[in-house]
Amino acid sequence: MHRDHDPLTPVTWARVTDLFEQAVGRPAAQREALLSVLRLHEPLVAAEVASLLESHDRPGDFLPSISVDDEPPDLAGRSVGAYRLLTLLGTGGAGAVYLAERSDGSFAKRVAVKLLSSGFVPLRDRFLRERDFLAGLEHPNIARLLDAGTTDDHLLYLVMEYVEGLPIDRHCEERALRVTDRIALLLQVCAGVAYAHRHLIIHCDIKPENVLVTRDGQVKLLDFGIARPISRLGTITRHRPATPAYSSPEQLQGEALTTASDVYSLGVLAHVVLTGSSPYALRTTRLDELVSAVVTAEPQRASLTPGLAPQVARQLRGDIDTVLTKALAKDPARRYASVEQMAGDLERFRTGYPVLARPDSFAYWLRKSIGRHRLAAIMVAILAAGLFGTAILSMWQARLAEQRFDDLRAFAHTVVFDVNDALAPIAGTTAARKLVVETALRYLDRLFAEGSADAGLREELAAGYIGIGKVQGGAFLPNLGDAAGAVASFRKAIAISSIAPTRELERSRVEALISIAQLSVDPIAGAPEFAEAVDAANRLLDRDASDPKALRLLADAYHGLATVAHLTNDVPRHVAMATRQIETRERLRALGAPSWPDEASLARAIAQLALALEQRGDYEAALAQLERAHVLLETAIAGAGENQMLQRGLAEVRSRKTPVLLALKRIDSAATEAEAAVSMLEPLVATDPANVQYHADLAYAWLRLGDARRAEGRLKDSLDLHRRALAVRRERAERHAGFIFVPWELTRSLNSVADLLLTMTPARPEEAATLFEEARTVGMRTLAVAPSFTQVRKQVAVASEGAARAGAARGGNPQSMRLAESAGVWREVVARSVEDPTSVRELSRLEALTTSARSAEAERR
Amino acid sequence: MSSDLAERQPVVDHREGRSLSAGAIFPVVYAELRRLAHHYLARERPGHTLQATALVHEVYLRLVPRGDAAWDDRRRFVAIAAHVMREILIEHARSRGRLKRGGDRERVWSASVVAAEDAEFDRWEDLDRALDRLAALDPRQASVVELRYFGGLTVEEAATVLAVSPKTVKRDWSVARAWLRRELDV
Repeated sequence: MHRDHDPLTPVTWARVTDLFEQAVGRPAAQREALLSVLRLHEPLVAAEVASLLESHDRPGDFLPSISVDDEPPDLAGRSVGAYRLLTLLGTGGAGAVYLAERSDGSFAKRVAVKLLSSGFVPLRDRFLRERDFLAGLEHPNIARLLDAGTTDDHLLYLVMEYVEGLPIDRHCEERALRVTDRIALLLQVCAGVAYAHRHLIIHCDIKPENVLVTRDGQVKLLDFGIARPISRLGTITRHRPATPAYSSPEQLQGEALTTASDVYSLGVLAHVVLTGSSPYALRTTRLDELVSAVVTAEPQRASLTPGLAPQVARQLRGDIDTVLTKALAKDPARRYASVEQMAGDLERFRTGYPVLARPDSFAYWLRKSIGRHRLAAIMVAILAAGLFGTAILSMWQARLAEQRFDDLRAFAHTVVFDVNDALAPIAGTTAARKLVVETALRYLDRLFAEGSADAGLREELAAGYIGIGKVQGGAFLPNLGDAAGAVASFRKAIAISSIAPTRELERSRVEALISIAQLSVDPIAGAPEFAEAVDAANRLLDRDASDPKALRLLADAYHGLATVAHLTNDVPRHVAMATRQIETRERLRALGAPSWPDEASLARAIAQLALALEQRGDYEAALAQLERAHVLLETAIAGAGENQMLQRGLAEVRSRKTPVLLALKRIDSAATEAEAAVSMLEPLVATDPANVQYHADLAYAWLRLGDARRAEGRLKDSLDLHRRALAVRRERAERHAGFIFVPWELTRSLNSVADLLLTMTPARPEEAATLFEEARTVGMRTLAVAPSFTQVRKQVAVASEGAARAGAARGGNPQSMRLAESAGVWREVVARSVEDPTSVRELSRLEALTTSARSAEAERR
Repeated sequence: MSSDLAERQPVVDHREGRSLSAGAIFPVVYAELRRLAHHYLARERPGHTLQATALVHEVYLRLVPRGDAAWDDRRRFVAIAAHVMREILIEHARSRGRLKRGGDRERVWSASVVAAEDAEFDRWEDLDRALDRLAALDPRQASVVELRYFGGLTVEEAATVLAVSPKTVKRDWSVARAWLRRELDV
């Protein structure tokens, strides 16, 4: 019944609209008042407004449902070709799917018949296209096409393998499958999609409803209805909108599609299967929000899905988050390059290997994926070694070696250096590092043997041998303790570098020389190599005085010579070499803006000079140098910000002031500096507990603070600090036996603890006696192979004296024999040293002690 | 304009900021929209939330957030998309109604005939006519209905397209609904 109203004009209607708006929000009484006034002046408008208000107030929705259900009729019972339709299974985009069987009963196998329910031309085309695609696909994870045809009344049909199963998400849900089982199903999906891609077909509509899982866990991919062939360019441009929740951003934006679009959809599918919800946390199912989420929003991390069981979240955290993030990247180029690669990562995850997906560089990936897990790290190393071998072998097979040399070298470089650098800080990975580096080198050796005298290749080889040498037994680095193997590798590097040397090869030769010299068991044995390195570096500088690498090598060589002088107790030479090292590093600094590692090295060089001056007895001069190094490092820290290397350097410089300040009797300052060093180093150790160098530094700082405490008279605190330092050094002695400083550090700590014990509890000298004895034994054993190690000899002298004192404290006779032994050792020390006033003083003291002990013994007799 | 060509050309190349000059492009766009709309309808199936309004949404999302020189044309384009959706939905309902009444064998929906209420088809026809009458009184109110109801746009989106405040759209929507309800007498 349509009301007969007076014709409304747009002007009247505008008035009606206004009044309706004024009235609609008011209570009934006010509305009525408004209307009654209105009725007096504008009866037509009043009637219209009243009528609209009445319509407005009526409950319920009145507009027809906008969604158009295009339900096809149920054709169950009729025959289609040789098949009889049994029951309607469902309706799809292009038609209906029926369960069917052969009408002639020739075999009982049930099939699915897909019937096109529309004559609409585009749909018909699509139906035929699906038929053509499926005809070419035969894969266990793709529902097979059995037959196709047209009915008498011109309906198109496809006869398909009947898949009795559930959509993958429901299957997982109903069986409450574990994460790894869900991944196994996803791998089957990937296999089907990858197969389609190999046949140049992009599915375009991957979603749970199109991925059925049978009762026995077989995945079947369905519905190639909107699949498209890939053109020669690898893209498809004319495509249809698919289910938006599973569509890639480029699909929703109508851009050209590649197989990466299916990778994206697989990412969404995996997210849904693993977490039960979409990667986009949407409040509604509104299409516009979904589209804008797919196009712009970052997908939610799977592990952070609300409501996820904690143990599932834990499993997904990390690798699966990374895999899905990569698959769901907005930019197709940032996704997995293929479904196989994505499947590879899923498989790696399933079998407990680290995934390959990482947003950044190879080195970044290594650092991240290795984490702090030794086992995983070793796996990575083995994988990397295998990967390397495979890559090279396949290049050989392809006879591409010639063209690929450059790639190959770059790859070798990556494996040798990135893997090595990533693994180096992790305790217990040295064997893995060795495996990687050796594998890489074996292949490089083979390349070399192929007969190429290419200088670039030799440069790589030399660098590679130096790399493996350091892993085998490099000084100042965690290593395999295989000093002989290391020296052999460094010698190979030298041999390779000596053939028609380029500048780079010459630099490698110098580095190898320095590396060999640093490994000398007897300090003086390294001197010739260091000296040769100095000459070679100087020759490089003759040709190019501003070669920073050559300057660094020269400084390193001087550092080595200074260290030799220090260990052999040649004080003037120690001062001279330390001074040359400083000069060289200052030349480097004059080249341009100093980098922070160079600044740290300069500070270390200055600290070494301070050590030499301290030994000479120039305490004020030593302190002045240490202050200089202190300022230099603080300036560098101000420029470089948080930097552990610089912090470490500063801590070392400050703790080195302690013995100098103690010698100057400035006990308070000595303690302050040592405390500062300890409080700087302790957090560094805490952040990187695997870094052995930090532990060694902290042990030094404890030892020096212990000395300051002792001077303050706080003997118990002192003992505690010295004991802590000793514990670190014992561990170091076990793990890094080949490192030249280790026995010296150990003997010093043993002597310090023993001496304190003896001072504090002279009545109970047993432990002190044992520790002195141990120091003496370690020292003698070291001197047997390193007779030039005068610093260790000093400790042996100290230990012998200590043993004598401990024996006397035990109530026995004053041990003139042990004192004489100590004096003898000091005599040897003085004979081997050059200008060491301290040793000379100690010698006279011990000789006096021995004399008095002998006369005391003679008196007793 | 053959449908094949229309299919190959993007509806509108917004990425290049190309203006939709009304005279030359709208006929192409119009044909393309109609084709897409049919496609959307054909994919309609139970259990899927893809509404017929998806088309307009997509058009809106592609065009409107990118404000530049072609702004007016874009807004107009969205309004047209909503109008096209209305035409197609009503045409669709009409054709089903005609088939139900034993009509046209040439029509493409031959296998999709379902028993639907005659009244349902009539309501679509009535709605169409009522909207036309409303457009004669206040074209903007009719546009609001097209955008909100046939286009599925939110109040804010419709306000953007019509270059009015959301409050105005709410008011138009409220009064237009009351009008339509009375006209349809439901």
